[in-house]
Amino acid sequence: MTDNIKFIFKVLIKVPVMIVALYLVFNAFAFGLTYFKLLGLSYVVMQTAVENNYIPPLELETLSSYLDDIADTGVITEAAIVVEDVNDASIKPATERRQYGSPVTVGVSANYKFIMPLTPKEQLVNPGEGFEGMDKSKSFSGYADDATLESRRQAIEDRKNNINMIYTVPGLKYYPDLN
Amino acid sequence: MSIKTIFKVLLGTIVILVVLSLTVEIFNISTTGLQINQISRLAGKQACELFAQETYKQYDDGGNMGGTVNMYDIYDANGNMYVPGKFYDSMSPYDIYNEIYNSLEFRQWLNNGEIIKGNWYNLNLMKKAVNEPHSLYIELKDDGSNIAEYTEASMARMLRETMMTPLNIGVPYLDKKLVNKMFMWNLTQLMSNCKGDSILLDEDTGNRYVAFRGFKVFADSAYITDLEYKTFDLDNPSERLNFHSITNIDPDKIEYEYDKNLEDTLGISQEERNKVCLVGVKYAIPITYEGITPIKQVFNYVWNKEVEGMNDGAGRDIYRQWNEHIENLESGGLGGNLGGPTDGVLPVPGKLIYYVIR
Repeated sequence: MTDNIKFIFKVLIKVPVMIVALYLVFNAFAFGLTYFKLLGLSYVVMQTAVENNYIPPLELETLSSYLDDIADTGVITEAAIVVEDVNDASIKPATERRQYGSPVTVGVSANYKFIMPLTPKEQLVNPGEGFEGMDKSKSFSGYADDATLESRRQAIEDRKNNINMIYTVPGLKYYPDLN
Repeated sequence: MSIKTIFKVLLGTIVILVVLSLTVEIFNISTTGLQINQISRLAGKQACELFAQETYKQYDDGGNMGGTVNMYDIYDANGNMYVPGKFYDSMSPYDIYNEIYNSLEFRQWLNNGEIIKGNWYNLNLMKKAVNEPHSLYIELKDDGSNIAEYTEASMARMLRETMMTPLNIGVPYLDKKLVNKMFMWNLTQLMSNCKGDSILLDEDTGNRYVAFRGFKVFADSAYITDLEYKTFDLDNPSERLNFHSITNIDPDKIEYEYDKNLEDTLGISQEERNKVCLVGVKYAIPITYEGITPIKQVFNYVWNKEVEGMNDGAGRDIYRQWNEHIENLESGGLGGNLGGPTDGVLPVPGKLIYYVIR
Protein backbone atom coordinates (compact mmCIF):
# COMPACT_ATOMS: atom_id res chain seq x y z
CA MET A 1 0.00 0.00 0.00
CA THR A 2 1.51 3.28 -1.05
CA ASP A 3 1.68 6.28 1.21
CA ASN A 4 -0.99 8.08 -0.82
CA ILE A 5 -3.55 5.32 -0.33
CA LYS A 6 -2.67 5.18 3.34
CA PHE A 7 -3.30 8.90 3.56
CA ILE A 8 -6.70 8.55 1.82
CA PHE A 9 -7.79 5.85 4.26
CA LYS A 10 -6.61 7.87 7.23
CA VAL A 11 -8.67 10.83 6.05
CA LEU A 12 -11.68 8.63 5.38
CA ILE A 13 -11.57 7.25 8.90
CA LYS A 14 -11.09 10.68 10.43
CA VAL A 15 -14.15 12.24 8.79
CA PRO A 16 -16.89 10.32 10.66
CA VAL A 17 -14.85 10.49 13.86
CA MET A 18 -14.62 14.25 13.56
CA ILE A 19 -18.32 14.55 12.76
CA VAL A 20 -19.26 12.56 15.85
CA ALA A 21 -16.77 14.48 17.95
CA LEU A 22 -18.17 17.80 16.80
CA TYR A 23 -21.71 16.67 17.55
CA LEU A 24 -20.58 15.59 21.01
CA VAL A 25 -18.90 18.93 21.65
CA PHE A 26 -21.98 20.78 20.47
CA ASN A 27 -24.25 18.65 22.65
CA ALA A 28 -21.99 19.02 25.65
CA PHE A 29 -22.00 22.78 25.26
CA ALA A 30 -25.74 23.07 24.61
CA PHE A 31 -26.58 20.66 27.42
CA GLY A 32 -24.30 22.46 29.88
CA LEU A 33 -25.76 25.84 29.03
CA THR A 34 -29.33 24.57 29.30
CA TYR A 35 -28.63 22.62 32.45
CA PHE A 36 -27.24 25.62 34.31
CA LYS A 37 -30.10 27.86 33.25
CA LEU A 38 -32.61 25.28 34.46
CA LEU A 39 -30.62 24.67 37.64
CA GLY A 40 -30.79 28.36 38.49
CA LEU A 41 -34.50 28.48 37.80
CA SER A 42 -35.19 25.32 39.79
CA TYR A 43 -33.47 26.87 42.74
CA VAL A 44 -35.64 29.97 42.51
CA VAL A 45 -38.72 27.76 42.32
CA MET A 46 -37.57 25.86 45.38
CA GLN A 47 -36.90 29.05 47.31
CA THR A 48 -40.31 30.42 46.39
CA ALA A 49 -41.94 27.26 47.72
CA VAL A 50 -39.95 27.40 50.97
CA GLU A 51 -40.78 31.03 51.58
CA ASN A 52 -44.49 30.71 50.77
CA ASN A 53 -45.21 27.03 51.47
CA TYR A 54 -46.56 26.87 47.92
CA ILE A 55 -46.17 28.56 44.57
CA PRO A 56 -48.59 31.50 44.49
CA PRO A 57 -50.34 31.99 41.13
CA LEU A 58 -48.55 35.22 40.30
CA GLU A 59 -45.13 33.73 41.05
CA LEU A 60 -46.00 30.64 39.02
CA GLU A 61 -46.89 32.84 36.08
CA THR A 62 -43.62 34.75 36.34
CA LEU A 63 -41.53 31.60 36.70
CA SER A 64 -43.34 29.89 33.81
CA SER A 65 -42.76 32.91 31.63
CA TYR A 66 -39.04 32.82 32.41
CA LEU A 67 -38.96 29.08 31.71
CA ASP A 68 -40.58 29.68 28.33
CA ASP A 69 -37.75 32.08 27.49
CA ILE A 70 -35.16 29.48 28.46
CA ALA A 71 -36.94 26.71 26.57
CA ASP A 72 -37.06 28.74 23.39
CA THR A 73 -33.74 27.29 22.16
CA GLY A 74 -34.74 24.30 20.05
CA VAL A 75 -32.77 21.80 22.13
CA ILE A 76 -35.31 21.33 24.91
CA THR A 77 -38.98 20.50 24.82
CA GLU A 78 -41.72 19.85 27.35
CA ALA A 79 -40.16 22.28 29.81
CA ALA A 80 -42.43 22.77 32.79
CA ILE A 81 -42.49 23.90 36.38
CA VAL A 82 -43.15 20.79 38.48
CA VAL A 83 -45.88 21.35 41.05
CA GLU A 84 -46.91 17.77 41.84
CA ASP A 85 -45.17 14.80 43.36
CA VAL A 86 -46.02 11.84 41.15
CA ASN A 87 -44.38 9.44 43.59
CA ASP A 88 -46.16 10.58 46.73
CA ALA A 89 -49.87 11.26 46.58
CA SER A 90 -49.90 12.40 50.20
CA ILE A 91 -48.17 15.64 49.21
CA LYS A 92 -50.62 18.23 47.99
CA PRO A 93 -49.95 20.01 44.68
CA ALA A 94 -47.61 22.94 45.12
CA THR A 95 -50.31 25.31 43.96
CA GLU A 96 -52.25 24.78 47.21
CA ARG A 97 -51.40 26.71 50.34
CA ARG A 98 -50.38 24.77 53.45
CA GLN A 99 -49.05 25.33 56.95
CA TYR A 100 -45.48 25.61 58.24
CA GLY A 101 -43.42 22.46 57.90
CA SER A 102 -45.65 20.72 55.37
CA PRO A 103 -43.67 19.20 52.53
CA VAL A 104 -44.04 20.66 49.08
CA THR A 105 -42.61 19.15 45.91
CA VAL A 106 -41.47 21.56 43.24
CA GLY A 107 -38.88 21.77 40.52
CA VAL A 108 -38.23 22.04 36.85
CA SER A 109 -38.51 19.33 34.25
CA ALA A 110 -37.43 19.41 30.62
CA ASN A 111 -36.56 17.07 27.83
CA TYR A 112 -33.18 17.79 26.29
CA LYS A 113 -32.98 16.65 22.67
CA PHE A 114 -29.56 15.26 21.90
CA ILE A 115 -28.74 16.22 18.34
CA MET A 116 -26.91 13.30 16.71
CA PRO A 117 -26.65 12.10 13.08
CA LEU A 118 -28.23 8.78 12.16
CA THR A 119 -25.78 5.91 11.70
CA PRO A 120 -25.55 4.37 8.22
CA LYS A 121 -27.56 1.31 9.36
CA GLU A 122 -30.28 3.55 10.77
CA GLN A 123 -30.69 4.95 7.27
CA LEU A 124 -31.71 1.58 5.80
CA VAL A 125 -35.31 0.56 5.22
CA ASN A 126 -34.82 -2.16 7.77
CA PRO A 127 -32.01 -1.19 10.16
CA GLY A 128 -31.72 -4.84 11.27
CA GLU A 129 -30.50 -5.87 7.83
CA GLY A 130 -26.97 -5.70 6.53
CA PHE A 131 -25.54 -3.80 3.59
CA GLU A 132 -25.77 -5.36 0.13
CA GLY A 133 -22.71 -7.48 -0.54
CA MET A 134 -21.31 -7.08 2.97
CA ASP A 135 -22.89 -10.16 4.49
CA LYS A 136 -24.53 -12.79 2.32
CA SER A 137 -26.49 -14.21 5.22
CA LYS A 138 -28.45 -10.93 5.59
CA SER A 139 -30.94 -9.37 3.24
CA PHE A 140 -30.86 -5.80 1.98
CA SER A 141 -34.06 -3.88 1.19
CA GLY A 142 -32.51 -0.57 0.22
CA TYR A 143 -32.31 2.83 1.90
CA ALA A 144 -35.21 4.42 3.74
CA ASP A 145 -37.01 7.40 2.25
CA ASP A 146 -36.80 10.94 3.63
CA ALA A 147 -40.01 10.72 5.68
CA THR A 148 -38.86 7.57 7.44
CA LEU A 149 -35.45 9.10 8.15
CA GLU A 150 -37.10 12.20 9.60
CA SER A 151 -39.36 10.13 11.86
CA ARG A 152 -36.33 8.14 13.06
CA ARG A 153 -34.43 11.35 13.83
CA GLN A 154 -37.46 12.56 15.74
CA ALA A 155 -37.69 9.28 17.64
CA ILE A 156 -34.05 9.64 18.73
CA GLU A 157 -34.59 13.25 19.74
CA ASP A 158 -37.64 12.28 21.75
CA ARG A 159 -35.92 9.53 23.68
CA LYS A 160 -36.61 10.35 27.28
CA ASN A 161 -33.57 12.01 28.69
CA ASN A 162 -35.38 14.36 30.90
CA ILE A 163 -33.69 16.93 33.02
CA ASN A 164 -35.52 16.62 36.30
CA MET A 165 -34.58 18.97 39.09
CA ILE A 166 -37.16 18.21 41.69
CA TYR A 167 -37.00 19.07 45.36
CA THR A 168 -39.27 18.16 48.23
CA VAL A 169 -38.83 20.94 50.72
CA PRO A 170 -40.66 22.08 53.82
CA GLY A 171 -42.79 25.20 53.59
CA LEU A 172 -41.27 27.56 56.13
CA LYS A 173 -43.91 30.22 56.47
CA TYR A 174 -46.44 30.37 59.23
CA TYR A 175 -49.97 31.27 58.20
CA PRO A 176 -52.08 32.28 61.21
CA ASP A 177 -55.28 31.65 59.27
CA LEU A 178 -54.46 27.96 58.70
CA ASN A 179 -54.72 25.24 61.31
CA MET B 1 1.40 -3.35 20.35
CA SER B 2 4.56 -3.04 22.38
CA ILE B 3 4.72 -3.30 26.15
CA LYS B 4 5.69 0.37 26.22
CA THR B 5 2.47 1.27 24.41
CA ILE B 6 0.38 -0.87 26.76
CA PHE B 7 1.83 0.94 29.76
CA LYS B 8 1.33 4.28 28.06
CA VAL B 9 -2.34 3.47 27.46
CA LEU B 10 -2.80 2.21 31.01
CA LEU B 11 -1.20 5.27 32.53
CA GLY B 12 -3.06 7.57 30.17
CA THR B 13 -6.38 5.97 31.09
CA ILE B 14 -5.65 6.33 34.80
CA VAL B 15 -4.62 9.97 34.40
CA ILE B 16 -7.72 10.79 32.34
CA LEU B 17 -10.03 9.09 34.86
CA VAL B 18 -8.44 10.83 37.82
CA VAL B 19 -8.46 14.22 36.10
CA LEU B 20 -12.09 13.76 35.04
CA SER B 21 -13.10 12.67 38.55
CA LEU B 22 -11.33 15.60 40.15
CA THR B 23 -12.92 17.96 37.64
CA VAL B 24 -16.36 16.62 38.50
CA GLU B 25 -15.60 16.91 42.21
CA ILE B 26 -14.40 20.51 41.90
CA PHE B 27 -17.44 21.36 39.83
CA ASN B 28 -19.73 19.71 42.40
CA ILE B 29 -18.08 21.46 45.35
CA SER B 30 -18.42 24.82 43.62
CA THR B 31 -22.11 24.50 42.78
CA THR B 32 -23.29 22.51 45.79
CA GLY B 33 -21.22 24.64 48.16
CA LEU B 34 -23.12 27.70 47.03
CA GLN B 35 -26.41 25.86 47.44
CA ILE B 36 -25.57 24.78 50.97
CA ASN B 37 -24.71 28.36 51.84
CA GLN B 38 -27.98 29.61 50.40
CA ILE B 39 -30.06 26.86 51.98
CA SER B 40 -28.51 27.37 55.39
CA ARG B 41 -29.20 31.09 55.19
CA LEU B 42 -32.78 30.38 54.19
CA ALA B 43 -33.14 28.01 57.15
CA GLY B 44 -31.80 30.69 59.48
CA LYS B 45 -33.91 33.48 58.05
CA GLN B 46 -37.11 31.46 58.28
CA ALA B 47 -36.24 30.40 61.84
CA CYS B 48 -36.01 34.08 62.80
CA GLU B 49 -39.33 34.73 61.08
CA LEU B 50 -41.02 31.86 62.87
CA PHE B 51 -39.74 32.93 66.25
CA ALA B 52 -40.82 36.51 65.59
CA GLN B 53 -44.31 35.39 64.66
CA GLU B 54 -44.79 34.20 68.24
CA THR B 55 -47.03 31.34 67.25
CA TYR B 56 -47.29 30.18 70.85
CA LYS B 57 -49.67 33.04 71.51
CA GLN B 58 -52.31 31.52 69.29
CA TYR B 59 -54.84 29.42 71.15
CA ASP B 60 -56.63 26.38 69.85
CA ASP B 61 -60.23 25.39 70.60
CA GLY B 62 -59.21 23.70 73.84
CA GLY B 63 -57.56 26.84 75.19
CA ASN B 64 -54.06 25.49 74.59
CA MET B 65 -51.56 27.24 72.48
CA GLY B 66 -51.79 26.49 68.82
CA GLY B 67 -49.61 27.50 65.92
CA THR B 68 -46.44 25.62 65.20
CA VAL B 69 -45.36 24.93 68.75
CA ASN B 70 -44.88 21.25 68.11
CA MET B 71 -43.58 20.30 64.72
CA TYR B 72 -43.11 16.63 63.94
CA ASP B 73 -39.84 14.95 64.90
CA ILE B 74 -37.41 14.09 62.14
CA TYR B 75 -36.20 10.49 61.99
CA ASP B 76 -33.13 9.07 60.29
CA ALA B 77 -32.96 6.16 57.84
CA ASN B 78 -32.89 3.66 60.73
CA GLY B 79 -35.98 5.11 62.36
CA ASN B 80 -34.17 6.87 65.20
CA MET B 81 -35.05 10.44 66.06
CA TYR B 82 -32.56 12.86 64.53
CA VAL B 83 -33.94 16.32 65.27
CA PRO B 84 -36.87 16.93 67.62
CA GLY B 85 -39.79 19.00 66.38
CA LYS B 86 -40.74 20.27 69.80
CA PHE B 87 -39.48 23.83 69.97
CA TYR B 88 -40.96 24.96 73.28
CA ASP B 89 -40.61 23.04 76.55
CA SER B 90 -43.91 24.14 77.97
CA MET B 91 -47.49 23.80 76.76
CA SER B 92 -48.82 27.09 78.11
CA PRO B 93 -48.39 30.38 76.24
CA TYR B 94 -47.81 32.27 79.46
CA ASP B 95 -45.18 29.76 80.62
CA ILE B 96 -43.47 30.00 77.28
CA TYR B 97 -43.56 33.78 77.46
CA ASN B 98 -42.02 33.66 80.93
CA GLU B 99 -39.45 31.15 79.83
CA ILE B 100 -38.30 33.51 77.11
CA TYR B 101 -38.77 36.92 78.69
CA ASN B 102 -37.82 36.15 82.26
CA SER B 103 -34.63 34.40 81.38
CA LEU B 104 -31.07 35.36 82.16
CA GLU B 105 -30.42 35.70 78.45
CA PHE B 106 -33.17 38.29 78.11
CA ARG B 107 -31.93 40.23 81.15
CA GLN B 108 -28.44 40.26 79.72
CA TRP B 109 -29.81 41.44 76.41
CA LEU B 110 -31.62 44.32 78.11
CA ASN B 111 -28.26 45.42 79.50
CA ASN B 112 -26.51 45.14 76.15
CA GLY B 113 -24.92 48.48 75.26
CA GLU B 114 -26.54 48.49 71.83
CA ILE B 115 -30.00 48.05 73.35
CA ILE B 116 -29.42 50.69 76.00
CA LYS B 117 -28.36 53.00 73.19
CA GLY B 118 -31.85 52.73 71.67
CA ASN B 119 -33.49 54.03 74.85
CA TRP B 120 -36.94 52.96 73.67
CA TYR B 121 -39.65 53.98 76.09
CA ASN B 122 -41.65 50.77 76.04
CA LEU B 123 -38.55 48.62 76.25
CA ASN B 124 -37.49 50.50 79.35
CA LEU B 125 -40.88 49.65 80.82
CA MET B 126 -40.35 46.00 79.99
CA LYS B 127 -36.98 46.18 81.69
CA LYS B 128 -38.64 47.62 84.74
CA ALA B 129 -41.20 44.80 84.73
CA VAL B 130 -38.47 42.17 84.57
CA ASN B 131 -36.03 43.69 87.03
CA GLU B 132 -38.42 45.30 89.52
CA PRO B 133 -41.68 43.31 89.46
CA HIS B 134 -42.57 44.50 93.00
CA SER B 135 -42.61 48.12 91.83
CA LEU B 136 -45.42 47.49 89.34
CA TYR B 137 -48.15 47.44 91.96
CA ILE B 138 -48.52 50.91 93.43
CA GLU B 139 -51.54 52.93 94.43
CA LEU B 140 -52.34 56.32 92.99
CA LYS B 141 -52.20 58.92 95.75
CA ASP B 142 -55.27 61.04 96.32
CA ASP B 143 -53.43 64.23 95.48
CA GLY B 144 -52.14 62.64 92.29
CA SER B 145 -48.54 63.49 93.15
CA ASN B 146 -47.29 60.11 91.92
CA ILE B 147 -49.24 60.11 88.68
CA ALA B 148 -46.13 59.73 86.49
CA GLU B 149 -44.79 56.83 88.56
CA TYR B 150 -48.24 55.23 88.69
CA THR B 151 -48.73 55.53 84.93
CA GLU B 152 -45.35 54.02 84.27
CA ALA B 153 -45.91 51.12 86.65
CA SER B 154 -49.37 50.45 85.23
CA MET B 155 -48.08 50.45 81.70
CA ALA B 156 -45.18 48.16 82.59
CA ARG B 157 -47.61 45.77 84.27
CA MET B 158 -49.95 45.89 81.31
CA LEU B 159 -47.10 45.10 78.91
CA ARG B 160 -46.25 42.08 81.04
CA GLU B 161 -49.82 40.86 81.46
CA THR B 162 -50.63 41.16 77.77
CA MET B 163 -47.43 39.29 76.90
CA MET B 164 -45.95 42.15 74.92
CA THR B 165 -42.47 41.47 73.60
CA PRO B 166 -39.65 43.63 72.23
CA LEU B 167 -40.56 42.35 68.79
CA ASN B 168 -44.03 43.84 69.18
CA ILE B 169 -42.52 47.27 69.66
CA GLY B 170 -40.05 46.95 66.84
CA VAL B 171 -36.90 45.77 68.63
CA PRO B 172 -35.68 42.37 67.47
CA TYR B 173 -34.92 40.08 70.37
CA LEU B 174 -34.19 36.47 69.40
CA ASP B 175 -33.94 33.70 71.96
CA LYS B 176 -30.81 31.85 70.93
CA LYS B 177 -31.87 28.43 72.15
CA LEU B 178 -35.28 28.52 70.49
CA VAL B 179 -34.06 29.99 67.22
CA ASN B 180 -31.37 27.33 67.20
CA LYS B 181 -33.95 24.55 67.51
CA MET B 182 -35.97 26.04 64.66
CA PHE B 183 -32.84 26.53 62.59
CA MET B 184 -31.79 22.88 63.03
CA TRP B 185 -35.23 21.63 62.13
CA ASN B 186 -35.47 23.84 59.03
CA LEU B 187 -31.97 22.94 57.92
CA THR B 188 -32.50 19.20 58.28
CA GLN B 189 -35.74 19.26 56.34
CA LEU B 190 -34.28 21.41 53.58
CA MET B 191 -31.14 19.32 53.22
CA SER B 192 -32.87 15.95 53.41
CA ASN B 193 -35.66 16.76 50.96
CA CYS B 194 -38.07 16.00 53.84
CA LYS B 195 -37.02 12.35 53.69
CA GLY B 196 -35.31 10.44 56.48
CA ASP B 197 -33.68 8.10 53.94
CA SER B 198 -30.86 10.57 53.40
CA ILE B 199 -30.08 10.88 57.12
CA LEU B 200 -27.35 8.30 57.60
CA LEU B 201 -24.92 7.02 60.19
CA ASP B 202 -21.25 7.80 59.77
CA GLU B 203 -19.66 4.44 60.58
CA ASP B 204 -16.30 5.99 61.44
CA THR B 205 -17.41 8.58 63.96
CA GLY B 206 -20.82 7.28 64.99
CA ASN B 207 -22.38 10.64 64.16
CA ARG B 208 -25.39 10.95 61.95
CA TYR B 209 -25.46 13.28 58.99
CA VAL B 210 -27.60 14.41 56.10
CA ALA B 211 -26.17 13.28 52.77
CA PHE B 212 -26.40 16.21 50.41
CA ARG B 213 -24.81 15.82 46.97
CA GLY B 214 -21.48 14.50 48.14
CA PHE B 215 -21.44 16.51 51.35
CA LYS B 216 -22.09 15.21 54.82
CA VAL B 217 -24.00 17.86 56.71
CA PHE B 218 -24.19 17.34 60.45
CA ALA B 219 -27.42 19.27 60.75
CA ASP B 220 -28.12 18.14 64.31
CA SER B 221 -24.90 19.83 65.40
CA ALA B 222 -25.60 23.11 63.60
CA TYR B 223 -25.74 26.01 66.00
CA ILE B 224 -26.21 29.74 66.22
CA THR B 225 -22.80 31.00 67.26
CA ASP B 226 -23.69 34.59 67.92
CA LEU B 227 -26.52 37.09 67.81
CA GLU B 228 -24.91 40.37 66.95
CA TYR B 229 -27.12 43.32 67.92
CA LYS B 230 -26.43 46.76 66.55
CA THR B 231 -28.48 49.91 66.99
CA PHE B 232 -28.23 52.63 64.40
CA ASP B 233 -29.04 56.23 65.13
CA LEU B 234 -30.49 57.42 61.86
CA ASP B 235 -29.92 61.03 62.88
CA ASN B 236 -26.20 60.39 62.76
CA PRO B 237 -24.86 60.74 59.17
CA SER B 238 -22.19 58.05 59.43
CA GLU B 239 -24.57 55.58 61.05
CA ARG B 240 -27.13 56.32 58.35
CA LEU B 241 -24.55 55.32 55.76
CA ASN B 242 -23.72 52.12 57.61
CA PHE B 243 -27.39 51.29 58.00
CA HIS B 244 -27.96 51.85 54.29
CA SER B 245 -25.04 49.66 53.27
CA ILE B 246 -26.09 46.79 55.54
CA THR B 247 -29.84 46.79 54.92
CA ASN B 248 -30.08 48.49 51.52
CA ILE B 249 -32.83 50.63 53.03
CA ASP B 250 -32.56 54.30 52.25
CA PRO B 251 -33.07 56.14 55.57
CA ASP B 252 -34.21 59.23 53.64
CA LYS B 253 -37.28 57.29 52.56
CA ILE B 254 -38.28 56.33 56.10
CA GLU B 255 -40.67 58.99 57.30
CA TYR B 256 -42.38 59.26 60.66
CA GLU B 257 -45.32 61.39 61.46
CA TYR B 258 -44.73 63.57 64.45
CA ASP B 259 -47.13 62.84 67.31
CA LYS B 260 -47.04 65.77 69.71
CA ASN B 261 -49.58 64.09 71.95
CA LEU B 262 -47.16 61.28 72.81
CA GLU B 263 -44.45 63.72 73.78
CA ASP B 264 -46.80 65.84 75.88
CA THR B 265 -48.41 62.97 77.78
CA LEU B 266 -45.65 60.39 78.12
CA GLY B 267 -42.54 62.27 77.20
CA ILE B 268 -41.94 59.92 74.30
CA SER B 269 -39.99 61.67 71.64
CA GLN B 270 -40.93 60.67 68.13
CA GLU B 271 -37.24 60.43 67.43
CA GLU B 272 -36.90 57.15 69.28
CA ARG B 273 -38.04 55.48 66.09
CA ASN B 274 -34.97 56.88 64.44
CA LYS B 275 -33.04 54.32 66.39
CA VAL B 276 -33.24 51.03 64.54
CA CYS B 277 -31.84 47.80 65.91
CA LEU B 278 -30.57 45.01 63.66
CA VAL B 279 -29.59 41.55 64.70
CA GLY B 280 -27.01 39.66 62.72
CA VAL B 281 -27.36 35.91 63.11
CA LYS B 282 -24.07 34.02 62.89
CA TYR B 283 -24.14 30.27 62.61
CA ALA B 284 -21.89 27.28 62.13
CA ILE B 285 -22.69 23.97 60.48
CA PRO B 286 -20.23 21.07 60.70
CA ILE B 287 -19.73 19.61 57.24
CA THR B 288 -17.34 17.39 55.40
CA TYR B 289 -16.97 16.28 51.82
CA GLU B 290 -17.32 12.69 50.74
CA GLY B 291 -17.50 13.12 46.98
CA ILE B 292 -19.76 11.89 44.23
CA THR B 293 -17.22 9.98 42.14
CA PRO B 294 -15.26 6.82 43.04
CA ILE B 295 -12.09 8.91 43.40
CA LYS B 296 -12.21 8.55 47.18
CA GLN B 297 -12.21 4.76 46.95
CA VAL B 298 -9.43 4.86 44.34
CA PHE B 299 -7.26 7.04 46.56
CA ASN B 300 -7.88 4.90 49.62
CA TYR B 301 -7.09 1.76 47.64
CA VAL B 302 -3.88 3.10 46.10
CA TRP B 303 -2.54 4.61 49.31
CA ASN B 304 -2.97 1.36 51.15
CA LYS B 305 -1.65 -1.03 48.50
CA GLU B 306 2.06 -0.48 48.95
CA VAL B 307 3.93 -3.71 48.35
CA GLU B 308 5.40 -5.13 51.51
CA GLY B 309 9.16 -5.34 51.37
CA MET B 310 9.59 -2.53 48.86
CA ASN B 311 10.34 0.03 51.51
CA ASP B 312 13.45 -1.68 52.94
CA GLY B 313 11.18 -4.41 54.22
CA ALA B 314 9.41 -2.02 56.55
CA GLY B 315 6.06 -2.64 54.97
CA ARG B 316 2.96 -0.53 55.53
CA ASP B 317 2.57 0.56 59.10
CA ILE B 318 0.36 3.61 58.73
CA TYR B 319 -3.16 3.45 57.39
CA ARG B 320 -3.94 6.44 55.25
CA GLN B 321 -7.28 7.48 53.93
CA TRP B 322 -9.16 10.25 52.19
CA ASN B 323 -9.34 13.20 54.56
CA GLU B 324 -12.88 13.61 55.86
CA HIS B 325 -11.97 16.16 58.47
CA ILE B 326 -15.09 17.91 59.67
CA GLU B 327 -15.03 21.69 59.36
CA ASN B 328 -17.53 24.35 60.21
CA LEU B 329 -19.42 26.20 57.54
CA GLU B 330 -19.53 29.65 59.12
CA SER B 331 -21.81 32.28 57.74
CA GLY B 332 -24.39 34.91 58.59
CA GLY B 333 -24.04 37.96 60.79
CA LEU B 334 -24.12 41.62 59.90
CA GLY B 335 -21.10 41.39 57.65
CA GLY B 336 -21.48 37.89 56.24
CA ASN B 337 -18.89 36.57 58.74
CA LEU B 338 -16.13 38.03 56.63
CA GLY B 339 -12.98 38.69 58.58
CA GLY B 340 -13.84 35.96 61.05
CA PRO B 341 -11.31 33.41 62.24
CA THR B 342 -11.79 31.14 59.24
CA ASP B 343 -14.32 32.88 56.99
CA GLY B 344 -16.02 29.50 56.73
CA VAL B 345 -15.05 26.57 54.56
CA LEU B 346 -17.38 27.24 51.67
CA PRO B 347 -17.33 30.20 49.30
CA VAL B 348 -19.50 33.31 49.50
CA PRO B 349 -20.55 33.49 53.14
CA GLY B 350 -23.51 35.85 53.31
CA LYS B 351 -25.22 38.18 55.72
CA LEU B 352 -28.14 37.04 57.80
CA ILE B 353 -29.92 39.97 59.33
CA TYR B 354 -33.24 40.28 61.04
CA TYR B 355 -34.93 43.56 61.88
CA VAL B 356 -38.28 45.17 62.42
CA ILE B 357 -38.94 48.64 61.05
CA ARG B 358 -41.86 50.40 62.63
